[in-house]
Amino acid sequence: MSRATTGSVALIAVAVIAWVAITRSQAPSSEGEVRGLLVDVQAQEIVHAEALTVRDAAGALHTFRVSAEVAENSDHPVSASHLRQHMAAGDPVIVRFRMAPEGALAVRVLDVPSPFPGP
Amino acid sequence: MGVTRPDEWLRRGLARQGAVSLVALLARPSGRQPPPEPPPPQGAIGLLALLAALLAACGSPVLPEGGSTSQGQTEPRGLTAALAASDLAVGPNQRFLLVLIGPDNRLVGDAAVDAAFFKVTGPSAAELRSYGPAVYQESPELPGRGIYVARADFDEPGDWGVVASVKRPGQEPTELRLAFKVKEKGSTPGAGDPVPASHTLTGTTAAEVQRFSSARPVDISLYRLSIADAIVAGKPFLVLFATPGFCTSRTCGPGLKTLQALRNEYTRHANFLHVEVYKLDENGQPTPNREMVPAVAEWGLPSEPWLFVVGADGRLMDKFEGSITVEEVRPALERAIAEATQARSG
Repeated sequence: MSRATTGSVALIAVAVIAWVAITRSQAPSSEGEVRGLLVDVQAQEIVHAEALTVRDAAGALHTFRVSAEVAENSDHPVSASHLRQHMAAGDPVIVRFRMAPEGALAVRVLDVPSPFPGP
Repeated sequence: MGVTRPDEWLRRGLARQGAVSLVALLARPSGRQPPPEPPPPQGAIGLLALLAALLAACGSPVLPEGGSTSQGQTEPRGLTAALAASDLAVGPNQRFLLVLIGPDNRLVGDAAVDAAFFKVTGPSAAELRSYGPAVYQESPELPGRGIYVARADFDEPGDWGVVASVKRPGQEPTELRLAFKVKEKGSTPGAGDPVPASHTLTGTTAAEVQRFSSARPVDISLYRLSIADAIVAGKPFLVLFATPGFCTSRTCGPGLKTLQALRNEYTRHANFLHVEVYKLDENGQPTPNREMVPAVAEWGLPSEPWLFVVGADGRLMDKFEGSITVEEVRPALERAIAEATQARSG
């Protein structure tokens, strides 16, 4: 590859990086929710969970870091132990999350009545 | 359930898997491994690759069907195993809890499961250390829901893995693998340890007990003794840490009923205690910052509910996390009673 070509590519690269930086700073934070069964709850204590993983109906796994808001929500606080009990009982949850620089962050977890009363 | 020799079972399993390394065998199933690292960039092509990676990292998350962001990886439709034990430590006869989830996102309760436990001994090596059946325990008052309980001997701390052989009626056998860590010492008391003499709250009237327990209706007999009192009493005792009033997933309430059922049967031979996990305010609600009663820290509870069976000598006989059935606890309690009787007569 000639020096001129390399220079052009580098120029394009700088332009694209600048464009990404600008659009990124203007983009609204993305939010969403996932419904499914808990298959992993990482916690060192009873109240605050550190991470959780949900398996959705299609079998996809979604892993989230867990905000302190989940346990401290005044309307519906959800402790790490409560999440573990959901996992053991097969009771589904809805995880509401927002994208943070470090990845998806669960900000609220809601109980969902199980659609399956049991075999 | 037929018992297969571990080495034979493992050999057959490896043959089915194409004889991959044990570590790969253990690590493979989670579907949550990070994506492979891209090759190191070289020259202008590398610069473009770097750009592509940057775009991928900075762009909007990939949205699967349903419009949610996926931080995990889609795994093949099939069984998923989840580990429900939170305090695995070195020692014999450790209670290992496995939840099996079917392709329909429904708990599996009809499988025969054998569990083989491996110590990861190097980057590509693991040794079979323990093997046995994982017995299905249906959760009390939750028909069709339950967990598989295996007993494992963990002889050293570090990285471990379990290979669960799952056979469901009318279906091809399958194997599930999970990696997990074993601690040198658990945060909760271990078998044979003297248990903490916690000065838990006691009461003799319903009004008194309602101030510190969320259980309704109040069963006063479970609050006559503190843990410290029960140790001094010189009888075996069971203590349940649970928050029945604030546990909406139907695990804590049944735990209390399990304790009461055992109390009704063994009341002359042992003491039975319930300890509320949260400190309650004047309205009977957890405090805003969800303070725990001191006994939670004294017993090192990383989760709740927990049921502990304690011998007449104040040493731990066995412990049960999460879903607890009368059938599973009974042998430990009867052992504690038998040892106490033997000690008295000796």
